[in-house]
Amino acid sequence: MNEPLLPDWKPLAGRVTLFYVPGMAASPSTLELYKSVWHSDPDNFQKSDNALAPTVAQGKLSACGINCTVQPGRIDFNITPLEAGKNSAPAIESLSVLNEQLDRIVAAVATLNLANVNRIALFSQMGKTCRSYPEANDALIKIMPAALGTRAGKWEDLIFQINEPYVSPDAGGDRVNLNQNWSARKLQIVTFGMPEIGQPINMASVPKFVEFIVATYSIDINNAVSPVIINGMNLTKLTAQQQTALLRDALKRSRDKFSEIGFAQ
Amino acid sequence: MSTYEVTPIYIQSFYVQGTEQIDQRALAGNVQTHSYVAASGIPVVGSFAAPFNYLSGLTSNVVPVIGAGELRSDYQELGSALTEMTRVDIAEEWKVNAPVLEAAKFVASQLAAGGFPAPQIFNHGPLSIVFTWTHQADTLYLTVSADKVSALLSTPERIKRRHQSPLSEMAEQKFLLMSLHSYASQYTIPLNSTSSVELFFSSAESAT
Repeated sequence: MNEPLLPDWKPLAGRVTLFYVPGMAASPSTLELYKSVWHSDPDNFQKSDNALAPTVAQGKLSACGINCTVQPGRIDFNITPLEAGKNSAPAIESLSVLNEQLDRIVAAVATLNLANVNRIALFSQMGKTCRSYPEANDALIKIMPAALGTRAGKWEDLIFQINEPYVSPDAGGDRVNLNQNWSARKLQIVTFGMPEIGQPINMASVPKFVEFIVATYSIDINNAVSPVIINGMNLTKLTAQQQTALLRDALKRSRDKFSEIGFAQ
Repeated sequence: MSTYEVTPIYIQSFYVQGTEQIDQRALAGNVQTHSYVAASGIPVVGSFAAPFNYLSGLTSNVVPVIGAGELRSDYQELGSALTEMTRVDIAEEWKVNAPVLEAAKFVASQLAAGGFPAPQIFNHGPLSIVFTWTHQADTLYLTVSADKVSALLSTPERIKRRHQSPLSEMAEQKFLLMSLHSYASQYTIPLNSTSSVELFFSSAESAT
């Protein structure tokens, strides 16, 4: 599109997901996975008493939040915003911060050598806080490909999504989904004030709700798993090398899309 | 209803969904919501009176966000039961091997993701866990061991169907489960255990 850079758009989230089928070993340790990526202890670690609930290790960097979540069949590494600004939805400081953390995760995946992974996914989301839905719709239409021929209106809850799958040799010839999503969303931030231990509950403890209307653009790239096993052979497990190659390719494609649109790096 | 100018293009899983707020004065304060949906294999359909969640959650190729809050209460109970089976202080005959537990957790999470009703659970030794659904005279037994899943549909009188898969295929079954959910909702088949079971078997057989 070669539009001028769009400084109002900020990264809202980044995620790398690894899907696995269980092998003879126990589930990967959330704590170890977190340390493998960020080389430090998390600020919080929560292991659920429920076998199906996720286990979470989370921490904080100066410019974003980080966490690792493990639940049966799925490992997620998340990059999140820290706190909401006064007039804007919570956002990660800059696209370079998001890129740096996603690169770090992908580099760590190469060393983890996780067995039984059959699917990877990369998710990146940009957002712009708007004053109204029409403003959000307008912001979205401006960054949509002109070929889609949509024009802005006074709609609420706009969701526009396309998938442009491609075939990747890194996925054993399977196709990889490249989903793009343009949405006008209402984000609700709830803040709980916790009284100090021993102090009575007061007004500060009452949850506070703040809402933002946000235009969001998301990219979700994930390899499709073959629905049929051929001659009893499971062709869908990815080696660590394939996982890394797929993720690096996905990172490149998502960054190319961001550059085409004109998001400030 | 407004007309949407959408250029026909060949992109798989293309869909548009939006809600439009009609002029409230004209509708005496009532806000009408319309959704416009187009997807590969599904024709453009008109408006929906109720929220239409299937496309975004079940038939798209998007990876959903996960969270503890999404675990339905019936699956929370199932997860608690699975946890109980590994406690160190329970009797040996009730304790399951770690790889079996991992497999059972995986299968349960796939069933939850597919929107299946949560099964009952029991085990009869360390080498397997059995999930069951009962509807009228039919009972479906899904026996999960460390590396395979066996399904058996029976009545008190006879075995009606039997199917076995390597555990690794359950990853692909997820797509089948999603498909049958979509199918079931499309044709308003009540999503009770019998219809789910029948569809599970027919889709499993067509995949082999």
